[in-house]
Amino acid sequence: MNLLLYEIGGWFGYLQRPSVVVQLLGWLAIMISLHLALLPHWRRSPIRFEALKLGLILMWSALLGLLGQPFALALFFAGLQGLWILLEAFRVLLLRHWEPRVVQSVYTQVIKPAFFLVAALGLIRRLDNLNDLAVIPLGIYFGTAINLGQLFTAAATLYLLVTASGLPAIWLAWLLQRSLGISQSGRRALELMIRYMLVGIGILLVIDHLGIKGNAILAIAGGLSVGLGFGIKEVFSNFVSGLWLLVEGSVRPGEVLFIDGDPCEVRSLGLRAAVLWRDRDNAELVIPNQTFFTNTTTTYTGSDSLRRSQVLVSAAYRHDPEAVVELLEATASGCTRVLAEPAPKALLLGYGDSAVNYAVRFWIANPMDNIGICSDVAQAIWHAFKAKNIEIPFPQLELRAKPSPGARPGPEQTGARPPSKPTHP
Amino acid sequence: MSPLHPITTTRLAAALLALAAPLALVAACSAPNNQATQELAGTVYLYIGLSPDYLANQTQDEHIRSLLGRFIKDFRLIHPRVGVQLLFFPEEEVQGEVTRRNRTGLGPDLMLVNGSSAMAMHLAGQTRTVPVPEAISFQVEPAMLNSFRSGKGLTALPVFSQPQVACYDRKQIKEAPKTLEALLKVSAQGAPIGLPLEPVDLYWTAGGFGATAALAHLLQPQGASAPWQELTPADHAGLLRWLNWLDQAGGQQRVNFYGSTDDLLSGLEKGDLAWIACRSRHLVRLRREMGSRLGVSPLPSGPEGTASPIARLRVWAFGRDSSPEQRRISQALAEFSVNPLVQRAATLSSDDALPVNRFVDVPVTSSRVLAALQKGMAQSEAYNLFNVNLLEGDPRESILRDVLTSMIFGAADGPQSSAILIRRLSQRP
Repeated sequence: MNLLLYEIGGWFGYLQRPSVVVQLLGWLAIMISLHLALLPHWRRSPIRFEALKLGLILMWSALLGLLGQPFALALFFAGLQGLWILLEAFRVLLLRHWEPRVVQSVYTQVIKPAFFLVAALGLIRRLDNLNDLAVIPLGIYFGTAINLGQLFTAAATLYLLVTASGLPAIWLAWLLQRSLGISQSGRRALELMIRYMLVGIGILLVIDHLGIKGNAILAIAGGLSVGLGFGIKEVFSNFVSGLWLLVEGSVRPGEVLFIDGDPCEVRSLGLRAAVLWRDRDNAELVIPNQTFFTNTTTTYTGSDSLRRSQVLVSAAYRHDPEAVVELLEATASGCTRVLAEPAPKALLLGYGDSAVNYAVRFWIANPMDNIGICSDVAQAIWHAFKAKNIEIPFPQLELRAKPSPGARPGPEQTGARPPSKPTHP
Repeated sequence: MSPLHPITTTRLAAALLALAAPLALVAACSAPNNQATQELAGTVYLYIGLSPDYLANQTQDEHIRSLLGRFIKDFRLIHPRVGVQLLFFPEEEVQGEVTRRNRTGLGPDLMLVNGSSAMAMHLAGQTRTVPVPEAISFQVEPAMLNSFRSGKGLTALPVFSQPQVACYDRKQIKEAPKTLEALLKVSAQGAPIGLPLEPVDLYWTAGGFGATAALAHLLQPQGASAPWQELTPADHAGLLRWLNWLDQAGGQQRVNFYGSTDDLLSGLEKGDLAWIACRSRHLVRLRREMGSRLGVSPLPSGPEGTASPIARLRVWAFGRDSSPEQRRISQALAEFSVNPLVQRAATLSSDDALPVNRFVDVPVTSSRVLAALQKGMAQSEAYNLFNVNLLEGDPRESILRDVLTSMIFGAADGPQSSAILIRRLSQRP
């Protein structure tokens, strides 16, 4: 590590050279002064602003060249500036075809880190010898001597696998879905499993690349098992639960689960927790995978995505129950989002204090639409009852006070609400 | 077009401050050293050109890094405020790397390269001439300095030499052959012999047949002012004898030619070869792999004279991008390396190179290896062969390689190859 710090410290020795200082100063002056003081109105158009910087750096390089001074360092910065502009233009182009969220994700996770990596390696390549830097020893870990090059390659491989394995995984899962005819949620599960597999293979390759010996891995595993027993049991339990749930298929992205009385859609199943979306208030619930593994889970998308729903309604005693039942079934069938098959079914549930209680049960295709469809059906029933003069009675309660002995007989006492003629609301 | 915004005082002040900050930093970093005390301070960038076989072998690579590390450590005992950054490159890539880096101003201050590379870089204007004090240059073998003199200065300063010798397996050959005839006899008796295909490494065989005069004539430096003259009959005869011998050797069952030095060395290490022509810089690797099996001797002579190996000179070449302080440090470092004490210590500790300081006594009586190296160096000196006839990347080297390769693999015989060689090399570029 000392050697690495010595090497890095040595790069500053180039500042002893006027020719290097002049190139750096010119570049710094252009970058900083434009950003801080000059021409703020240019900054409204990022590409134009960057292009202005590029033009000035190129002019600075040309001037140095004309004066017979070294200029390739300034030109290198111009090259980076040009690349940055190209990437910005490419981003604008992508935004026309892709969702902003996806473009943002690709840029922050892949393209920008790649740019900074290229810039850093390019600069180091000019200041030092990458091959020499790569063989700088960092120490002996797990019985294996690790150098900077190995560590860099390992880190870059893992980062690339974690961030860039998404697209190949999506493509492979789509291909398998097409060829095997698996469901949409199955495809999403497959995507995740392919990503885990790619990252797993990457980790094995990295271990192999670093030359870590098998017995060292066993030692790590031994240490981990102790760690698992105490500190990270829950983390590991959640990870294994997540994998198991994916294989089992009970909690997969796209599934609809009943959480605390609300239907929620599974958005993602991560290493530690699942993220569910609740339609009612647009909330995202982060639930540890272990919860699904140990608790009972109600799902509407297990074998199919149909849901049977119902609306409760009351009608006055004077109406013929058969007519009411028939009307309820017809009304529910008339709602667009209620499935015709299985057909809606109305039932007389019982005799209440003020009315006869009915229920109309019907099937819907999307469990997440339940509340909205119930509302539609309830409104349709209101209109149908009004049209057929079927009364939905208010609850009526009659209280009679028993006269106490010796009390003067007085007028009858009724409930809080005086009896009224039932009307439609 | 939006209206122009006036530059506010605050913004202007911020910009000036932003400019002043890096300026101050840079000024602090590049502040001139205290000249009154003459104390050297700063960082210099030292490029090391390594042969491909060095880079391919970890033992050799570690050896050179360790040697240089020790040398720099000693230098820093005297100049503790000096930092030295080492950058290693394959020898054939050094020139390209210097060209590229000179354009950025990030070129080397000092380069440890072969004499031929240093000459090529100087011809290309990539190195500078250094006024080495007489007290220093006086200590270096004059024959080695001749090629690097330029006016009152030196284009490069030799630091050590790597002569060519014979390396053999003592288990297979009890005593090293002293003549080329004996070498072929040893081969006929069943000992496999390995010879290099590279002209620079095969040149040693020419001396034994009196072909060096012809080759020196044909391989005159490109800028030679003397008009081209035909070879004398004696030169013709010498050249023909040499090529005939190579042709004959190529036909021997147990004489093999190798294009790769690494293959040649591996063959000896594994016992597949009993005798090879090697360079002193390979001894570290061979010693580690073969132990006491390794024998080292001078190269065998021929009927017309002694062997004519081209000794590689390792020299310091001085970069052009250095600041005045870096120039001082580079020169001090180079001069320190030819100090008799440093030269002697390096020779004794490495046992694979010879000093250039003529006042350093090489302990030939106590070391058979150093004695063989000394003899190899004397053979080179006799022919004035310090790696300067064939410049790095010189097209004539590839012509010589093509002709020799064709003959050794049976495409032409000795007389045909002689005619082709004379015809092609006499066409001055």
